[in-house]
Amino acid sequence: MNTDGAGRAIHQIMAGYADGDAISNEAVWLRDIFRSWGYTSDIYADLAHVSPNLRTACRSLSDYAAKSDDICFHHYGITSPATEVFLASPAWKIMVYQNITPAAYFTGFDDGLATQLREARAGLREIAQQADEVWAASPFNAAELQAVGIDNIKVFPLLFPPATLERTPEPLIMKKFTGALKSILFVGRIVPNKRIEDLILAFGWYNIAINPYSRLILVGSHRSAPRYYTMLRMLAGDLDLPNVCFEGFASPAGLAAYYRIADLYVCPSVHEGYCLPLLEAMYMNLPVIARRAGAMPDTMDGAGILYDDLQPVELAELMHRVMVNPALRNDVMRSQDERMQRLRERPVEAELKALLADRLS
Amino acid sequence: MKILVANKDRTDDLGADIQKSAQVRMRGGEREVPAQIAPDISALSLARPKSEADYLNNLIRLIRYRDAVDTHDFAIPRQPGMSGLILSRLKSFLWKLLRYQHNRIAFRQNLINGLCTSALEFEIACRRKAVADLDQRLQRLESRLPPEKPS
Repeated sequence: MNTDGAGRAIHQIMAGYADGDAISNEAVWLRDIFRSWGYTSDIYADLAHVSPNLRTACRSLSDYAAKSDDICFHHYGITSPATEVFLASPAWKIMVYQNITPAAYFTGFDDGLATQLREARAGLREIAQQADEVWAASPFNAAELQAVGIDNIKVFPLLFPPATLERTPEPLIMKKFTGALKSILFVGRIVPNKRIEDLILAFGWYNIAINPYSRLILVGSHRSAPRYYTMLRMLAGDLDLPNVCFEGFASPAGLAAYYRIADLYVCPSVHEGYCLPLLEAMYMNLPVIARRAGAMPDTMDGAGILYDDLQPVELAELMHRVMVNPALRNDVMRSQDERMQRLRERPVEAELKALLADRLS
Repeated sequence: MKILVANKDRTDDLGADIQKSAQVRMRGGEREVPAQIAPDISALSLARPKSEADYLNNLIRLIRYRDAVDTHDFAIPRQPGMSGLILSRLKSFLWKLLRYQHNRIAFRQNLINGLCTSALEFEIACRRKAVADLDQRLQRLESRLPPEKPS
């Protein structure tokens, strides 16, 4: 066992901790790396926002204690008691900016959440200034920090743990979606910045005008914005689309099943801090179409298809082409394979050691 | 319009081709096109609410347009070949056969839906009136209080 960090700790502080959440998965991966280096490492989270089945996998914020030569990471994306604990820590403080969704998207759908997001963005500069170091999960997030006057940002792209997709797919879901229907998939929370209405409108054209033997599978929790979810269901009804399937939150085994069932992954979101499902879909050999917005061009990194300013009927036509045109599909899949190869070769530990060189020595 | 495939700008070739096909699709033809709903009663009129109250008002208004089960005929998808033809004919026949019973059930369901929507509207109107009355009472009471002393 490596004992580089004997007596020192590298802890992480989070606003919440949930099963299947990309940031929670990253925190677990980092914790395991720090422990393998010989450091004491734990994840501290606000227990009010921890999945009940994970209460033993992390520790309460009130248990957090640190020394001045420790390191403390804080994954920041919303105001929470975790930020206060982070700022009060005597350790070397590293804020990891995971992005804050602009509040305007939630106005009217959830005014309380909109206020929380507005406060988080208003406090972004001050919190970043009080941290000893600022990291960003994507170049897009780094640019947002620079726009509020923060310099010397280190970019550490969100970690992609493929093991979560290698579980046995949930048999009930595999059984539910049998039949030779073309399946278009979206994975992500059902929230307004994802612009899922654009995908439903495009699917309306695809299903009614191009291929009636098709379905749209929307996987993700709708608890963050139930009013937005209501609007989407009403829209599917207006367009008379019984094949729009709102599946809700999926377990890792469920997620593995949805990716296996699908023929195409489409992300119409207009604001993303990273968007890990794009990589998950590529890993599961699905052609990926995403809007050229937010951090998605960074995450795609030259792979798949990026689009901008497409009418719903045009997006439907693009989806159709990717599924039926072998030459186009081959170009897409080749670029995605190259992207996956670069990800597999990513030297995560070496990257971390280089970023933390000054503190670990 | 912008389309990048594997980091190559394909707007001029693939994009132009897609635009052309899309125009043909929009004209209709052998297949139907999605229903066009007037913007003021479309679900998308909920997309940019000013506040939660604004959203709720609009939602109730839209529910009123949607509280009935639609009993119109719908297109039955048909797969190619003889089996597709037979299956679609069979589905059309069954639909015609069951239509009378279906309409009877839909009539009862629509009655219940309509009553529920009315009850919801009455409830909201009552709540609004109660809040407005409380507001007025509060204002009257506040006007009786002595003015605050400057600190």
